Amino acid sequence: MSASSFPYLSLAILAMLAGGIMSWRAQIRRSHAVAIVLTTTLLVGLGFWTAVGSGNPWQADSRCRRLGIDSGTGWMMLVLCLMDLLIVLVAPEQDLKRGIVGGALILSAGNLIAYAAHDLTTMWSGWIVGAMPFLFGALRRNQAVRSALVPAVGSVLVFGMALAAQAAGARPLTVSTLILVAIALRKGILPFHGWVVRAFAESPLVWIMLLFNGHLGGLLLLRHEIARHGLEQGLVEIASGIVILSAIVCSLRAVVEANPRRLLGYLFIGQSGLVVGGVLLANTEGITGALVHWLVVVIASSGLFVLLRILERRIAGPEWWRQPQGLGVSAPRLATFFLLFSLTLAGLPGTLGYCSQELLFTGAAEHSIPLGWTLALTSALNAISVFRLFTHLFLGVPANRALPLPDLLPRERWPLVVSLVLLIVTGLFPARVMRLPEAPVHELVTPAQMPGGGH
Amino acid sequence: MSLPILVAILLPGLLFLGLSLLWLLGLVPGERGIARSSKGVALLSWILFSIETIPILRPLAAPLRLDYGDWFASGHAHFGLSLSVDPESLPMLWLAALLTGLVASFSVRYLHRDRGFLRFFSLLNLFTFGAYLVAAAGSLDVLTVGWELVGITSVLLIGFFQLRPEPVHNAARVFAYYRIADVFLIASVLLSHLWFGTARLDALSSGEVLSKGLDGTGRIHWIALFLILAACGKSSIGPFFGWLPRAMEGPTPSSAIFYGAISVHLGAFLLLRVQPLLLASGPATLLLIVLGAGSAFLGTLLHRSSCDAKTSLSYATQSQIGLIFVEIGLGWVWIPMLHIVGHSIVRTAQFLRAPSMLHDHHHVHAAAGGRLTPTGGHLEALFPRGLQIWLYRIAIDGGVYDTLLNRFLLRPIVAVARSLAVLEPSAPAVSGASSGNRSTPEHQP
Repeated sequence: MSASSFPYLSLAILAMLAGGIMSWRAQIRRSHAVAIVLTTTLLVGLGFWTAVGSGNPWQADSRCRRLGIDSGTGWMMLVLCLMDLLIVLVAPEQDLKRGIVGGALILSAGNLIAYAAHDLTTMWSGWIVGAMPFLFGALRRNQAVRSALVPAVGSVLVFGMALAAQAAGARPLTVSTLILVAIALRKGILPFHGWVVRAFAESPLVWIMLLFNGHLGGLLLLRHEIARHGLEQGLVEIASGIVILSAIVCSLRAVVEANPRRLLGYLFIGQSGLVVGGVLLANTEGITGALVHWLVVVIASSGLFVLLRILERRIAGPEWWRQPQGLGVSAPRLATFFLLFSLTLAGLPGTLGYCSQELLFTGAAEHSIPLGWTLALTSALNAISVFRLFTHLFLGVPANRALPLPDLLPRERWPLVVSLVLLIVTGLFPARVMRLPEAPVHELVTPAQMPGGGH
Repeated sequence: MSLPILVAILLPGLLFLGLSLLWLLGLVPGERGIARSSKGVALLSWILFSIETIPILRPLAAPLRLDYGDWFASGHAHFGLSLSVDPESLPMLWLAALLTGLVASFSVRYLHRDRGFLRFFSLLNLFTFGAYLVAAAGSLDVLTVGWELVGITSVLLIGFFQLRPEPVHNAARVFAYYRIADVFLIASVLLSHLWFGTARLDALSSGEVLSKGLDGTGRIHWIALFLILAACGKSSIGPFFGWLPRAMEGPTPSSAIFYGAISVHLGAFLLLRVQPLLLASGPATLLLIVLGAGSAFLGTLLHRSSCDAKTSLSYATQSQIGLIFVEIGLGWVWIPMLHIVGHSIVRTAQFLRAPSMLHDHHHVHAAAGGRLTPTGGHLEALFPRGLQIWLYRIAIDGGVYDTLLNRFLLRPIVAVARSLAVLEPSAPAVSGASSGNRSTPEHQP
């Protein structure tokens, strides 16, 4: 086993943190933000490369037992860094104001720590770092971040309580329940979905993207022994039931929602519910589907939220979304990207979303046929809602405004094309991507459920 | 031998990808280049299909099966890439290539200088790729991919004239129909994998699977039922009867290729591909015949009372597809296949001539010396006067389809969705309203 990923990782985290702290109070130029994220991405890439090269699947680093890149989650860290890069490249100029980018870099550093953590205490420290921008924002009486306090800070507190209970020798059921509550808070699983949707509607979109698109709840589930050993099977059954129920509730709520932020919030909760649900299924298809879907959700929803943010900055006025906008005429590329990212989340064939959802449905059907059916129906409802949003924003008679909405700039276009091509190429040739989650799948699936292992 | 077939199928997909990527990057090809490449691809595909598959039409010739291994796999789930070119799929492949080329030629003038020229041709190529995949699919996995691609292109072309509210509204509505119907197809694929360990079309019609499915568990009935419902969704039959007239908002050439020819017949084609499985299930066969006959009757009724040319043609199409469903339910193979091909060609011609219908009528009227006798009254004459009036009232209300759907399905779903707001302590009182009088927090100083 090699320990060489640690230097890269520590440098990457330090770069993010330093960049975040320095730009917290000061205006930052886009080129500087891009340089920081690019450096981090390269460092994480090098760390991942060494981890894969030394055959380090899902294990602790020998030099630092608490922190290291392994081949199980290293690719996820790399994707998260690429998502950061997409955000800093495409985000509107106004979002580069002090605080926003600084907070985003700190959030990203928190995500990296959580993903590199090999024990729950270190992972918790990543959660704490990620909650800091919201906490400091609230202390500075920033009204906008208050709605995100429950999912961001509340989940950290409950996670901390779980760790304290574990250290105090509490019953495993208590610890597991607390862990599941922390996950539910973080992922907006019933009954906490209202807070998450509100956070989507009111908080800075760049922070919200990084907070929820880190999928730290799913990561905690992957790392915790609930998923690994099927501890308290009854509890896992209840949890999976609630996750599926959340997905159904959110998909139904999205049907009658008009606010794009809230609608995409519901969609996001439904999609990330699929990730958690897939892990809880604890079969090879479900976990592989969940982890590949994680990749899809990270890329596609980042693209969607970035596009929405661009729209918000270019269309002035309160509640601009109330009237049909007909933006497709003046901004056809923006419309096309929005449609393609939406349909990727909805499982459009030819994109990776189709493959991941097929696996998820198969895993669910293997567990229980009505479950597979329900997930497919939920996915269909989500697709209908997001397509309705697309038609509302981009099709129809253009709204009466003095100047036509400008289409995507080349600076915005290229990173989005790269993201889309990534989703399409991996969707057309998904075999290699399907092998990425092999290590966690091998760890989490019991031998009896492996192919040829008992069936 | 397999390479030319593969190339013929992939060509339109690659052209779509190329055109789209160029456009996304800001490079817009000219009309002539778009049209020539699209027509060239259709012609090349047609030639390749013809050359490579003529040997298959010889008596006792074996069908061409192309297996490319697993597209992706995990655990017990294997999604195979297999194509099958046989006497059943061949007419569909030929038809798709021929009519796509024809419609592409027609559209060059029809959409000349339209701002959606590139969009139309890109979507036409994606549709062609999807239709080829459905026609040549060797498994339900591959068929589903093509099926969904056809669906999404269909919806985007319904909303082609995006500056008018009706096409946009109808596109969203048709998308909803398609997605719900697709759930049934996905369910049948999942169940086939789960229960029979395969979704290959030849395997699903094999004696082994049929005997396994009829072992008293009723498995085969469920799969057959889901396949019928999926086919109904694509062909606008039975519970999905209402969407086809809404789809007439798209450009006439797309109406011709989608709703006169290829897309609406794909449902019937799917049923033909799995016909042994359907016939093994008595209840499913009965359902198929009842749905087909009911839609045929309703279709002809509505067609006769419709005053809009394209809408009238759409109902007439539904009527014929209903009959094709009945033919498949009766166990016939070649009659429904011939019916599909013949109906597609005739209906495409009718749709393409629809904008000139009045001109054509005047032409024929003058040629007949001003004495054109009305036709089509023979069916009405079979019914008593009171029933005729009652049926006419139903017909002009679109078969009360939308009324029933809104009252018993959509309104309850919306009511449930709204009532779920009680689970959110922070949900706005009015759905869609934000918590404050501002659009986004980032607008704050």
